Amino acid sequence: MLDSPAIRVHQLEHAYARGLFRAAAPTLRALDFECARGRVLALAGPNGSGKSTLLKLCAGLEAPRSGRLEVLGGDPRDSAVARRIGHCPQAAAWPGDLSFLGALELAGALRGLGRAARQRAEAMLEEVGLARQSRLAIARGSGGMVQRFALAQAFLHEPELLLLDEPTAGLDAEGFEAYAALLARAKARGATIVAASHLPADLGAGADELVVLLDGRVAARGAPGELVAHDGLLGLYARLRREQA
Amino acid sequence: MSNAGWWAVARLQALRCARWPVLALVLLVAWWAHAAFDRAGVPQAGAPAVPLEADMLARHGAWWLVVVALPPTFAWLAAGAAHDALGRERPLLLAAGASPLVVLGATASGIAAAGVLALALATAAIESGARVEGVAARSLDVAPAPSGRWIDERGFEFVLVDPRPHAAEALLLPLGLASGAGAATQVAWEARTPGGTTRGRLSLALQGEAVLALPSGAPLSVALRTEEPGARVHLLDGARWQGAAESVRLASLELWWRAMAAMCAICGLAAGAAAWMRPLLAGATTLSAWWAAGFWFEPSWLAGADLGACLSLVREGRLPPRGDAWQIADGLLLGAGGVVLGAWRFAGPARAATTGAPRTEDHA
Repeated sequence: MLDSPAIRVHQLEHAYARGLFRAAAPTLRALDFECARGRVLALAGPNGSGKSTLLKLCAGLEAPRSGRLEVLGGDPRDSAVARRIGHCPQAAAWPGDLSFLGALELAGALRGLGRAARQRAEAMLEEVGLARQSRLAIARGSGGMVQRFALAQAFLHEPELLLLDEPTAGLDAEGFEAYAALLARAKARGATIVAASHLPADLGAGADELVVLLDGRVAARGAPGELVAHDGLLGLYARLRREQA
Repeated sequence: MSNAGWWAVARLQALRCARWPVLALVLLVAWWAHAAFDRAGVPQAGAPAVPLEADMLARHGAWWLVVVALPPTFAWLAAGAAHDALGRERPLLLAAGASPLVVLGATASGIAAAGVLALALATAAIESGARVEGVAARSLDVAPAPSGRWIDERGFEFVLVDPRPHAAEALLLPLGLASGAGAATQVAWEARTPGGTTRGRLSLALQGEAVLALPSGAPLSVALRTEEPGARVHLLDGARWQGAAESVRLASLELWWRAMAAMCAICGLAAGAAAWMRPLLAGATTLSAWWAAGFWFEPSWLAGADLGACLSLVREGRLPPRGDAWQIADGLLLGAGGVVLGAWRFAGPARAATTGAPRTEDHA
C-alpha cells in the first residue's frame, strides 16, 4: 500500500449531530482531494470552512456521513493505521489532572511504545522545552506550555502522517524554534505533513502545496507562493467567494 | 489499543478515584461503618453476654450505609470518566486508534476496580469494629414449602419430595400468630423421613420461625399443629433451608461478594449510559434502574439483586447463602453489556464511509 497516497478523500460529507430534534450542521460537502506521501500540505480557509473537521476525520476522531476516506491506505479508525498518525488538535482540553510527563507517557502507551514510552516521553519534553515542568499538572500550565505538549504528543511516536491544526497558536519564540526543529526532522524522515493555519508564515514555510477550503469544499489548490502572493489570504478568500458566487 | 494501552487507561481511571473528595467519602463511610457497633450499643470487648443478634444488627446497619454510599459514588465517577474519555480527552485516548469500546471498557474496569477496593476497605472497617466472635446459621436456598396456610390444633401436613441442598441441616418455616388464648401460643412440629423423625416446639408471640432439625433421607414429611384449642397460626412466605453454623464474620464477606458483583455491573452500565446522556443523568438512571429492579423484583440475572435479601438475613442474625463465581461473572457480563451499549453509539458510519456504502440522507 506504499504507493497509495497518504490521504485520499472522495465525495466526503460530514455534519455535526445536534441532538434528536435539531438538524445536523453540514461542515464538509462532497470534498475531493489527495495528498501524496512525503508531501507537506498547508490547509487554509476562513473560520468554519471545515479545516479542523477534515483533520479530525483523517485522525479517526470523527466519522464521515458519506463518501470515501482513506488514510495511509486504510481506515483511520483502525488501530494499525491510527498508530501511524500524529494529530495535534486545535485548543483541545487535555486531562488537566495529569502531569505533562504522565499524559505523554499515557499517549506513548496508547500508541504502542510499550516500555520505551516513559523514556521517549522524557526525551520529547526535553525537545519541546518542557523538561523542567514535566511534573506540573497540565491544568496548571500556561497556554503556550499546553500547546508545546500538544505538539509533543503528536510527534511522540514519529508518525508517518502528521495532522497539525493551528500548530503554532500560543507559542513563544522558543516554542517556534522547537516546532521548526520537530517539523524539519519529520520532513527529513519522509513523513507526510498536513498543517492547518491562519498564518501566512506557517502556510508558506516549507509547504509543497496550499489547499484552500471554503464552506466545506476545496476552493483552490496550488503552490503557496502563487496563491497568496498578490492579495494575501484575505484577498484570496474574497476572490474565491466572488468566483463561487 | 495494545494491552499496555488498556492497562494504562484503566490504571489512570482507577487512580483518578483517589482524588481527595472521593477518598474522604470512602474513609468517612469506613469510619462510620466501623463505629456502627458503638452506636448499636454493643458492649466493649470482653464484656460477657454480648448478644449475637445485636452484633448482627449493627453489621446490618453498617452495610446499609456502605450500600447506600459507595455504589452511587462510583456510578457517578464511572459516568463522568467515560463522558470525559469520549469527549474532552478524545484527542489523547482515541487518536491512537483505540475504539470507543476499548476506551469505555478500560475506563469502566478502572473505576470498578477502585470501587471494589473501596468496598474491601469498608468490609475491613466493619469487621474491625465487630465485637462478637460467634457463629450463626447459614441460610441456604429457598425451600419449596407451601405458604399462606392456616395451622390449628387439627394440624397441617405437607411433603417435600425434591432433594434438599447437600448442606441443609434444618428447615426454617416463618410463622405468624393470628389468634390465640394468650400473648403467645405453642406450635409443635414433626419432621419425618425414612431415616428418622425429629420433633420440636416453638412459643410464638407475634411472628417467629420454626427451625426443624432434619433427619436424613427423602422425601421429607412435615406436620405442624397448635397446642391450644382455638389458636390459629399462619404459615408465611420465605421458607428456607438452613446449613451449619459458621463464623459471623462471614456475613460481611458474603455481602462484599454481592456488592462487588453489583459494583462491576453498575460501573459498566453507568459508563455505557454516559455515551448517550450527561454523566449525572447516566449515573442516576443506572442506579435507579438497579435499585428498582434489584430490590423490588430481584431478578436472578441482575448482579447483586439479592443484596437486599442478604441484608435482611443478616438483620435476622443469619449468614447469607454462600456467594458463587457466577455472581461475579454476571456482574462482569452486565458491565460489559453496558460498555457495548455505550460504544454502539459510535459504531457504523465510519465503516460505511470507507467501504463506499451508499450516501446517507442529509438532514441539513
